[in-house]
Amino acid sequence: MKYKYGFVLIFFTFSVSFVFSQGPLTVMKNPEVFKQRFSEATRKTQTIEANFTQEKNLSVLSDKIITKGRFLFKKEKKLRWEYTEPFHYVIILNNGTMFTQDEDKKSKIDMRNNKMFAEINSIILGCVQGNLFNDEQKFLSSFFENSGSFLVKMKPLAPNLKEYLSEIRIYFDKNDLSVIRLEMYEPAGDFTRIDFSGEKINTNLPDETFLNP
Amino acid sequence: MRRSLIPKSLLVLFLCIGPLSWIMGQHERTVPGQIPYTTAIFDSSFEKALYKGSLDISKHHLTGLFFLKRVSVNSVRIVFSNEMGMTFFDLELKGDDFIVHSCFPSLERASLLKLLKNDFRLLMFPDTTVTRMKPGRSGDSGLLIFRVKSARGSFHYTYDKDSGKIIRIQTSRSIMGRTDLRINGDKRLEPTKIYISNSTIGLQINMTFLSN
Repeated sequence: MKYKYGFVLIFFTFSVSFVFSQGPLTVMKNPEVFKQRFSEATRKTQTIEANFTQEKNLSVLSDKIITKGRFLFKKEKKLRWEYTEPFHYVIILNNGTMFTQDEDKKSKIDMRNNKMFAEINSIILGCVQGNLFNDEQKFLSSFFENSGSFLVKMKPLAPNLKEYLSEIRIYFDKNDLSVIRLEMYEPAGDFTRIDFSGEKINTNLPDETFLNP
Repeated sequence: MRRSLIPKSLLVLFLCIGPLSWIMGQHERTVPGQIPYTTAIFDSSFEKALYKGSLDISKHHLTGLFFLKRVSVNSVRIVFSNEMGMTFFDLELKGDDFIVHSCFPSLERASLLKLLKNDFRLLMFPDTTVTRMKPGRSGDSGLLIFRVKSARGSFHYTYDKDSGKIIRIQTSRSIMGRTDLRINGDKRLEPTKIYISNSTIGLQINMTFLSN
């Protein structure tokens, strides 16, 4: 229970390029201290607002699909991904229910009746809360660091997850333990990288923000 | 053995040139001075395009991005991923081959993949095996309809009279149902909207052009 809702990400204030130029990553000396520090840092966070840039890398085709948008989080289980470029699309995850708005078309999906969305929801929420690597039954986690950042690599253990995810990588800023980058690797070699920027912590986010758009 | 090759060669030549001259003849007769009819929706100079889209199959409603890319003269890659970047399917049409590079487990059904193969082949590659094109009736004076027979099957092609572009392809009824492929576009190379449906299988694909 200690970690169930304890980890909430805090986004970075330093540039991504600065953090990623801090030398090669080596095995983390003390992962337990990292987890403890992260738990303490995220306990105070109620809401997060941030911009994101998402890059889908098609390895075989050497192409990238880049999308941008705004990310909102509110404790305990409320997420809003609002894509603004090159299209408008909203995904809201609110305690087991998923709302989407695709241009003018609105949908409501009860994820308990939809295994695929339930899994995606679980992964996304776990990633943005930063507590995904604590689920030892679902993932095998390994911890790395350099002078500027921490990296947690997670390999899925459950067969149904392995079918569409080979690894998840979460990068944390070493100063404030905020999540600065999320990477999702697929078995075929494609991967999606999400970089977060311009975060605001504990602003007032009304519950209506996380209802059907 | 050598003698029998000659008539076969002539037959092949006739099948290749015959429909073309017939089509050109129809073109001259019905839309003089306009763009010749073609069985290509995407021009041969097509390189790649990104579409926002959705795919409905049975009770699944999937939304995301379709990325189409020509990887060689006779090969096209079709990647459909959700907005978060997870790949639903990555397919390749390569000559007569159909390669499934990856596919979400719940979509990996033979009937669906076969339909996707046929439908995207119709969309991405011009039919070079046409053996017969017969004018059909159109209730709209701005449209021309042709009944087409080829090695791929039997189709109804609907053309916009002014632009000479294909705006609809309907397959004939079969065990796989009837596919209805509709295309909207402006003067740009790529269609701006693509709609594919098959009521028998319960498939609907909607695509809206985003960028090259």
